[in-house]
Amino acid sequence: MTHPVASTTLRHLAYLGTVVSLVMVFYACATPSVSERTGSTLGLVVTQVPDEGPAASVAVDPAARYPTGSRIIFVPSSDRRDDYPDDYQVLSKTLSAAGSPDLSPDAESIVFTGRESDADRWSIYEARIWSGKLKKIVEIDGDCIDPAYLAGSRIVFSCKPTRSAASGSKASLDWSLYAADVDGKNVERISFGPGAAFGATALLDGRVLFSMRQRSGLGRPDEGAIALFTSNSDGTLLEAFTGSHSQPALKLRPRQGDGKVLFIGKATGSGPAQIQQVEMGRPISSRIPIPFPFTPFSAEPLGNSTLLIASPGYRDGSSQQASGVFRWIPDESDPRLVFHQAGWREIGALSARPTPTPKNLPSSIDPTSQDGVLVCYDASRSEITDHSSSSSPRLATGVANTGVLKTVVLSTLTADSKSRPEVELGRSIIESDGSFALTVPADIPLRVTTLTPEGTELASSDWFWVRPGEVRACFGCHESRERAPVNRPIQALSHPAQTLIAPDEVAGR
Amino acid sequence: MWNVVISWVVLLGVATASIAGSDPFFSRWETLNQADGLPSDKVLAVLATADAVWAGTDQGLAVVRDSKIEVIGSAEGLPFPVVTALATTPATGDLWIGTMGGLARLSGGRLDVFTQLNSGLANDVIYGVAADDSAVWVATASGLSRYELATDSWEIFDVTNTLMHEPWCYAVTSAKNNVYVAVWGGGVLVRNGQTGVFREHRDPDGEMEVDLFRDDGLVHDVTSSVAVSGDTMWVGTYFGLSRYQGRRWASYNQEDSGLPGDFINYLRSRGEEVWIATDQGLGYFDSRIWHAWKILPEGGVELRTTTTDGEFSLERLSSGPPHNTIYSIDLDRQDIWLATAAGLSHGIAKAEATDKSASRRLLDKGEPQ
Amino acid sequence: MRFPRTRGSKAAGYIGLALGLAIGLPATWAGANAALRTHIRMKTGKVENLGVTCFYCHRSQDLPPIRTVDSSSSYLSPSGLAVSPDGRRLFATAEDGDLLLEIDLDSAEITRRIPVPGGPHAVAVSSDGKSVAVALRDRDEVVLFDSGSFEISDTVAVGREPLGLAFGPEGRKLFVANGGSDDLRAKAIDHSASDIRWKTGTEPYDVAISGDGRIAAVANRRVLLRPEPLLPASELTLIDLSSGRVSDRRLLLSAHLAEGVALSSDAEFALVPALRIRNYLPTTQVARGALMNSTLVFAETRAGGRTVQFPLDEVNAYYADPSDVVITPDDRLAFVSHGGANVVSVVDLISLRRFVETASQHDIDEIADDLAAFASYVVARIPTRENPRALAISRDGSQVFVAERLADSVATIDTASLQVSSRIHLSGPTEITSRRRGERIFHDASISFQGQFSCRSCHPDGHTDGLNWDFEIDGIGVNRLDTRSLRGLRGTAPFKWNGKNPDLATQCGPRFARVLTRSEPFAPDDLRDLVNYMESIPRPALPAFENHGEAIERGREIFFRTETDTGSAVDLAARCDNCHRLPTYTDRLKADVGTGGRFDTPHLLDIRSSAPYLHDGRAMTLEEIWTVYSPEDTHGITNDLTKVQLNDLVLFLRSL
Repeated sequence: MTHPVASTTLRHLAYLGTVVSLVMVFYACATPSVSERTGSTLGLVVTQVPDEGPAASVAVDPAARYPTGSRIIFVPSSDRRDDYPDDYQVLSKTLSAAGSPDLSPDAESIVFTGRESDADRWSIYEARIWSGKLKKIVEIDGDCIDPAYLAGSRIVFSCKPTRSAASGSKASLDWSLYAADVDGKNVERISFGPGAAFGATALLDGRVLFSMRQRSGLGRPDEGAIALFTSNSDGTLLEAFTGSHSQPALKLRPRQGDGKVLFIGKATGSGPAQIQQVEMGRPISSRIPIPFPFTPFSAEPLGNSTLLIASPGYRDGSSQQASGVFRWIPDESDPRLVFHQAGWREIGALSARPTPTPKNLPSSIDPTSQDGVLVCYDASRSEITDHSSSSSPRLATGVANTGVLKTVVLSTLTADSKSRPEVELGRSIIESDGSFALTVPADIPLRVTTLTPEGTELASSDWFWVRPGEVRACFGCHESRERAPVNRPIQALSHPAQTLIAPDEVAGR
Repeated sequence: MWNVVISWVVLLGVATASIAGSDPFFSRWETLNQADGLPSDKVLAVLATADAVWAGTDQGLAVVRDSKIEVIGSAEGLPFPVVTALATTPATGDLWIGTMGGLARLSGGRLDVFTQLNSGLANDVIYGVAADDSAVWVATASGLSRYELATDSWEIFDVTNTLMHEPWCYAVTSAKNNVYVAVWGGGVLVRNGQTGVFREHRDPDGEMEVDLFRDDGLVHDVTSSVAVSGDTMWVGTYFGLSRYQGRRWASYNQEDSGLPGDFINYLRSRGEEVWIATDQGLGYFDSRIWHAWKILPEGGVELRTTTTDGEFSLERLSSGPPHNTIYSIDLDRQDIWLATAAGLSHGIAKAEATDKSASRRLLDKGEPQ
Repeated sequence: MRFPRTRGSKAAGYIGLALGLAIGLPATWAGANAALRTHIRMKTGKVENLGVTCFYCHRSQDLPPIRTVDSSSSYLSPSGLAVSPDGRRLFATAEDGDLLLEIDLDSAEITRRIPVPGGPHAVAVSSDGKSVAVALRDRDEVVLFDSGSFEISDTVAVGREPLGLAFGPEGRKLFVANGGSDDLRAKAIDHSASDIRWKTGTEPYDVAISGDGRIAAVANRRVLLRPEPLLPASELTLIDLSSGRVSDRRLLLSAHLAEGVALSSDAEFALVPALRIRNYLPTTQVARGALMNSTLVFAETRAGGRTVQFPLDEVNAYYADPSDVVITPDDRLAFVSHGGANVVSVVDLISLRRFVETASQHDIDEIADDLAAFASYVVARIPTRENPRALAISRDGSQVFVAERLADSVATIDTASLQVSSRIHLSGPTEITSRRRGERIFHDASISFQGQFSCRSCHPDGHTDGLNWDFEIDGIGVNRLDTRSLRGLRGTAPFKWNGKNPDLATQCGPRFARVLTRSEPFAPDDLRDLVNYMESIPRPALPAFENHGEAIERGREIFFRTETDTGSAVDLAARCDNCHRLPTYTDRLKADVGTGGRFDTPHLLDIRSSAPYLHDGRAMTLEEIWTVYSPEDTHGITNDLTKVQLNDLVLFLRSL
């Protein structure tokens, strides 16, 4: 026999249980989930903006990329739900805006850019993806964005110091790359070009791949265009990756995988974003667009030709696009929605899974030096193939000898003037074999121009820099970045390199 | 009386022959010289191989092949321009080039240089080279060098470790596993290939001016060349020719034989034949008949034929070697090639000329290289 | 009589003691120092090397005996492969295991394990399948087996260190590439004719004979000895077997370490994988192929034919240490093993032929350095296990076999799918020792930036590449230094030409990564294993200089002489054996031999095969060390020697 009160209570509990169950079923159907496992994926790290908030855009400016309300969440894969009671966790929970996350190789934490309020500077944060523990790890008087993990417990990111912070130092007023320990210590600037450098990622070989705005100063068509570059994690060995003269003009978020590098490109600042792909084996001559049907804001290679793509679903022309995170094998299948959360638009997605640790390259910087050495093997060699017009493999290559050169002029930019006029640091004779060697000031923008015996300007390099103690070699002038140097003795090395010294007013010296 | 008649008949015959003489071996002689593309007219060594004729001059090595003359000189890696001796390794055809500044091997277009500084070669001044399939023998101004091909190792035989009395080895040849060395002022040394022991042949009378006792041994110690065929060894000296067959020596001089001159530069033997390069023309001897080709002071070529019976004849030839100073000889089937002071001379056999009568083709085409 | 002890006297005692110590200690030190100097001067003739401990010379323990070959290894290390004409059997030589293995390809089982002591390196099968020949690297012999009974039918002496092996088409002749004596020998199997010996390039490693028996092609591993500033070049030797003449010697400019050669079915072209090097440039960087890249040499065999180097690498990825090559019977594909990258590349030969036929000389010159060109002809990269080296292809071209040398396995590649279809494990030890791990690290190019090179890329078989390299760390364009051999280096510390590295762990430490590999330094365990391996690299078997025993003995007496030919004493410091001290022939100190500085005294073991000589490789031959570079007797006393004596000395050195 059952007590009436107890019976009523039990009945109510049963009703409640049923309701709760129904609610849970409904909630389960209505709430986001990672619909399938992707290899050893632990889940997704998704960057979102509120549906009703300001729209995000593919741009360098973090405020445009990550408008107020933007956030980063971690969505565990379905098979990890037992370990993790929540369906998702906001990793940027105390911040007013956040984005650009990068996952640690052990997939335990992310670093990202964010700010606590619209009045605050953009800073670098680290969050544990399971516990959600959040901490600011970089304190610089200025904005810092686009962090990425490096080997050796280091991170790389971009900072634009405030004018007061930049005054009297070597700091640039534009975005520059910095490296630091993951706890924010030992911050070191590693890029010194005149154009903005941002969007860095670590390549598996240990280099840093990043976007950098061109500032040719020659009125060339690529003035202001953004190209992909690599450097070692200490800023040495700056090299163009995709070639500096090829379209599209804007390149963001490069990611390595499947023997390729994917990035989001825009032909013009206001044009639609596209997924672009280059092969690691021949990054200059293999660039092709990947025609994703929606507007992509991020694309990550997952292996086996599969891409993870985030699209916010903004209007493109007259069509309303889908928003969400998609899994897609180009040319083989339609994009499959793997995540979308009502009320939000997805502008970035990472697959949370352990990845190989990049190589920890040794630094070749000599901290006691203020100079580096620039050796050009043959300034008269010049690439004449127009790679931008062809993505097909080639066998016959175009390298020409430009003829007799006489002089090389080394230039830099002044630091403080707004127009930053170019100033000449000095000149040196080019040897008859086309070689020259210069000892040049480190950590300032540099550019070389070659002159014919008549004094006519023949060719000019892009801006570059050398780090203290670095010996930087150029194989030719405008040589293909896909070409190895010719094995031959170099006349310029038969005597000490000519030393060019930067005047004090140059570049903050 | 009959003697007088016979003499007149012979003289008449000679006179007739001088008008319509004929070469016993060669249909005609041709010469390649600087105008044809040789680096110099002074040809010091000659070697005919299966597909080419090599001419060592005092300005580099020339190869006559496929109607073309190529020159290999210092620019091509030759250690010294004065080429004095040539030989080939029989099995592989590798060419060994002796110069006054070292030895070179030409194989497949690659020149390897061996000098007294970079190898075990005794001396850079080379007068003779001989090669077999296992080794190369080099006659130098400081003894004889042996380069063992299998081990890349060198051995020197000189006054310190052999019977050699003088260091100047002027010629070397190998035959039947033995090695024969003409030592200037030291006679001939023969190295037994089985035992490695040297045996010496010297002028028994030791006189430098005269050969006191005929056929007692080597005619003179100043030897310049040695050639071996069968059981016969021929030794050229600056004072006549010697022949050695077992225990018997025979000596020949210009005065008492058909030898064109006593100053012998080079010998080349084949079977019973020996061809003799002198400073007074080309000689030939086959143990029975002597021939001597000589350019006359007044011009024209004279062929003198002498028999061991004392008969002789003189003929005027329409063509012959270009110069009486002959430095080297090579035989190519029935043709002969001479290295002379006035070019590379080619005696084209009366029978069928060799396929690679490059000189003829060159001359016929009128294509100076 | 007793003296009263007073405070004053006690103080005086202390003062006296102090004075005594003040004077006596320095005096004792000075005396000991003087005695030490005298001792060192007497024993070494040198005083500038003070600073070493007593144990430097008076070792606390004796050096282990110097091994000539590594007979202790229990690993197999397959180094040669050959397929029977019927395609049913695969023969593999296990160089470290001293075995010839017969593998039944139907069952993928090892059916015979025939002991073949002496470092069996290469293996070949006659066209009728009746004879199997094995080249014994350490014995300078080739053993012929009856392929049915596997009884030894003949053992023939060949040149030194036979590495490459091929039967003529009729099976009557055997062609042997002898890496130690730089020759190719043709041997009549029935002894009906004498051997023919062709001089090849330096260290011939592989030989291919055309199907009609008309052409022999020989790949040579090391560069020819060419004085600078000539470009380094190895050689592809082409021999016209009908005339018996070397028809061509193709210079592979700036390319070396060729370990394989294959001829097309019509013998119109030969393929040779090689390393293209840039040793004239300072090692300012490794990126963009600045040091070396893999290349496939395509050589038309006709007279005057073209020779083209096709890069096999990519702009950001390298496939180091190309080793062997095979061509499919239809001449459409070539397979190239990359020992340092654990990859087999597949190359489309139609594209290569089209290029060779149509390209200008300018294009040919330029493509050799074009790291993007691969996309036009590399059709696949097939991953393998550790250190793929020797390749063999079945007669029908359906299968390519890959000897995974340091995995003791053979992979089978299906040439239709271009994937590894099966793997035959050769039953080597399952336990991987520290030394074996070190050997794998030594041959693994992942140690360098983008996998461009391995330790082996400069030290093939632990030896030397015979090249000068300019390490930027001591100033660019300064001190181009000769690569030193690693053979028999145990007990020869310190290392580097300047003798700055006291041990191999330091030599290969972080600075090595910064200066050379430009990548992550070795992890401590990896470094330990690598050092273990390097210290065990054996020297090759001693050469036999028949007929030169007396000369070698005379040379030995000269080496150890204490008096000149004229009877005057040779100063201790100038005696050969003072610096080149037994048992390793080095005193492990620096010396100035008149070449522009004080350099580490190299050991002399295996010196015959490590030309060029001196710290910057200026001496092309041993003779030049004294005839050219020691005119004032700065490198020992030799000016009194006759040429005969110098030859004896050189022969002695070459016998070490």
